[in-house]
Amino acid sequence: MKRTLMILLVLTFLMVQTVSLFAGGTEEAAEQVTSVNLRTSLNPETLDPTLLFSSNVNIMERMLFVSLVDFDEVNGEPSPDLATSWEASADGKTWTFHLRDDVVWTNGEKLTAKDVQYSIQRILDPAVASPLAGRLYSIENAKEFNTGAAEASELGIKIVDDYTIQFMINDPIAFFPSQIRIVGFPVPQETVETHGDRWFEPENIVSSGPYLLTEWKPNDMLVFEKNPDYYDAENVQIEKVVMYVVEDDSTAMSMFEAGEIDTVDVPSGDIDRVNKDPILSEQVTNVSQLISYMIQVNTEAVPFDNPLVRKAFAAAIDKQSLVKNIAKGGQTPTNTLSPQGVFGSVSPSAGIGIEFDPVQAKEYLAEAGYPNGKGLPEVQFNFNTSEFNRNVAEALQQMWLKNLGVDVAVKNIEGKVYWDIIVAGGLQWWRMGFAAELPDAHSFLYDIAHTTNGEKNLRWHRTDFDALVEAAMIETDLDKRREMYMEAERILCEEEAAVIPLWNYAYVNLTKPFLERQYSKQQIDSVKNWKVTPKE
Amino acid sequence: MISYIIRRILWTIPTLLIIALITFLLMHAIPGGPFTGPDISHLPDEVLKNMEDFYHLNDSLFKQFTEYIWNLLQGDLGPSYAERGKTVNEIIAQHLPISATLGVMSLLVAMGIGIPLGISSALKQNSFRDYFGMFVAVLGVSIPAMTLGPLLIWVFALKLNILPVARWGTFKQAILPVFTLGIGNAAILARLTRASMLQVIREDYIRTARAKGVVERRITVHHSLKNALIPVVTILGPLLAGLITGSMVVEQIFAIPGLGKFFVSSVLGRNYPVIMGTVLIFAVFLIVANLLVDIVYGWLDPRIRNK
Repeated sequence: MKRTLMILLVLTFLMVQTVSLFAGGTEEAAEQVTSVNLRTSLNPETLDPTLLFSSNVNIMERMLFVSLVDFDEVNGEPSPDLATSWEASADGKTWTFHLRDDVVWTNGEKLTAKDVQYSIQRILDPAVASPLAGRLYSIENAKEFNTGAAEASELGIKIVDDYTIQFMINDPIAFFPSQIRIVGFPVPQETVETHGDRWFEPENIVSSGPYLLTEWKPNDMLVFEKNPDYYDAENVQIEKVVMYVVEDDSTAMSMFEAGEIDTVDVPSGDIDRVNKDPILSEQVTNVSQLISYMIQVNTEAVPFDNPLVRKAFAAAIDKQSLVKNIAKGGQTPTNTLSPQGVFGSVSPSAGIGIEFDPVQAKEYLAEAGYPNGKGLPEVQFNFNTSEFNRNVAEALQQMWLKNLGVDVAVKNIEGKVYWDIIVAGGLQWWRMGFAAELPDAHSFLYDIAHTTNGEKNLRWHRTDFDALVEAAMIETDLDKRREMYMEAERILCEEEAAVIPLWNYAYVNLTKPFLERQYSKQQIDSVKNWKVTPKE
Repeated sequence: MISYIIRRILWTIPTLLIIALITFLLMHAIPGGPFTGPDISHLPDEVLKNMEDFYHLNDSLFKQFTEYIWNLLQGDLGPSYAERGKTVNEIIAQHLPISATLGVMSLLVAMGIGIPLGISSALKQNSFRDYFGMFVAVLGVSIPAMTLGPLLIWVFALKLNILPVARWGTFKQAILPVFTLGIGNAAILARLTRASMLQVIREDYIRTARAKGVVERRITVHHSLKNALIPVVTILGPLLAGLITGSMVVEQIFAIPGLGKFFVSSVLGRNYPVIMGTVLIFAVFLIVANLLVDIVYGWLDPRIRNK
């Protein structure tokens, strides 16, 4: 009897526990305000713009903070936000930005040039150790300050008055406003200093953008509400944005279909079904991105130390078929490195790069001394572990076998190890995705292939290529810059085939008919510009 | 008994230290580090060095380990490298309760379905009821959560429209993940209960009880079941520890903010303090669960208690 009583008590206790856990968690009543439910695949690692590194979270950074310079989603050029205009001095080494005088922090204080200066300083402070610091090394003494060799006061930043700020830079970089765009979100000094690394928690945050952060349950959801004091509040229509953290793409897709979220990027496995579905196919948009999927070659590894071998393998790839049958997401096949939409990318009609041509491919290989692949040393193609990459690698393997008669081994490697092996020069060639840090060909050609300041993984060197990308960096005549990058692409992808570009990334998006949104090539969506048609 | 329990609890301290040491050495032996990889590689060396210095990653391993243990003894599990300003203590405090609730609920479901199913099969061995029960159990063992979860979502959320797809917080939201996680374990428990029950009902003391004229119901509950449960209780220990600390697969499918994903993401991201924290918390639960199992043994079988 006593025992039964005990068991009953324990059971009751458990039930009460379970019920109380769910108490108060009942579904919210229907909202009266215009609202939209979104999904983020990542819980923000931080919402401090001076530390935020993941591009997936940019959407939230832009909801909370104004940026010095915004980004025009149509032409990829910098556009006004906090700064209404900017100009370079005659020698191109001093940039002056003129700021709006009507931007206020949510604590009521005015946002001035001092806040801009503080934020830049914070990014460069070695004690803060921000991953973004390198993006500001073009500013005078920035690198020195970041490595402890100079004081903050020596930085090339000058406050002219409350609403004018100047940057002195080391070299006359033509794309400085674009470069500062990614790091130019002012943060509130006093709040940061009071609350330290968690100053952006909902109970502490002081922000300046179109939305306020009102709730954040880590790894679950974030709630944003319209900021009535935002300088352009009258043009912000959606009053409440709920951002669910949903890692799994298929789950997000199901949530969209069940109406729990209002817009979603379609997982590649669902694309065929969506396109055939009479209702869903009406809600589809294909969006190209500023990301390149490519093969990189270690030009010191046998047999790829011979450019003819590289060209043979490049010419044996049917990129149209790869995109149509394997990648399937509306990607654009390409023969050049910088994706369409960045400044300096080469139009496909220019005919630069190596086209699919199986006959020519065989000739290249014969010319290199390996007719029909005879005598060719073993070749292994590597990719970082993912189902998608495996499918692509296996399709490439088939193409090389069919068009060159070469049996290439394909092998996956775990992500972090992958990178270490590549850097150490342990692979012959490998798959790589590369996203634009700035929408400029500089970000691809220079960063990947420049002999001393690039990634160095190609182990490739051409003096004329280096000279071109160095000159293009400071060239202010836009037409001349374009020509320089075209020539650089020709050397890298056509003459030398040290990089074999396959396609530009794209994504397929589904959006409910009542939501009117823009699609960002850089995945830096501006929710402030979105509109919701009221539901009847 | 009390001194036994105290002795066992004291033993956990050296056990945990050894686990910490082995984990520490293994995780530093894997190539790569928290600030390597294609995403972060193009950062200048100076920037990477600042970031590594920030977390003292350039200190000697010995210094890093002793500092870690020193902080651990004060209850500080260190910072997460992936989220500036967030500590491993916070991560566990925020996410463990959710995983534990899900785990305990699914264990109750597993026991509620599995044990009766096993008993009912054993009592009518080789009957239709037995075959049907075991067919269901084999099905349950064979379908992984990775398949079952999306299948349940498709049926109940998308086709029938009676339950939400994902997330955590309401009773309705809990139903699908609890069953997804519970059914596989229910199947394991059913098979184990059946096998063990079949062995026990052939024992002499059962025949004696029957000969004495004890009611069949009392024989099943009091004499057979209690003894048959010993192997079941044995696996309940590790099962409970695993369920409480979270299931990465189920949490991912249902977008539940539990602790499970940290076990995997921390290793992929070489987030050393989070690896240590999750491994240690799992070890603690495993040790405690095994201790509970040993105590329950004694209650179920006096012969064990007397040893």
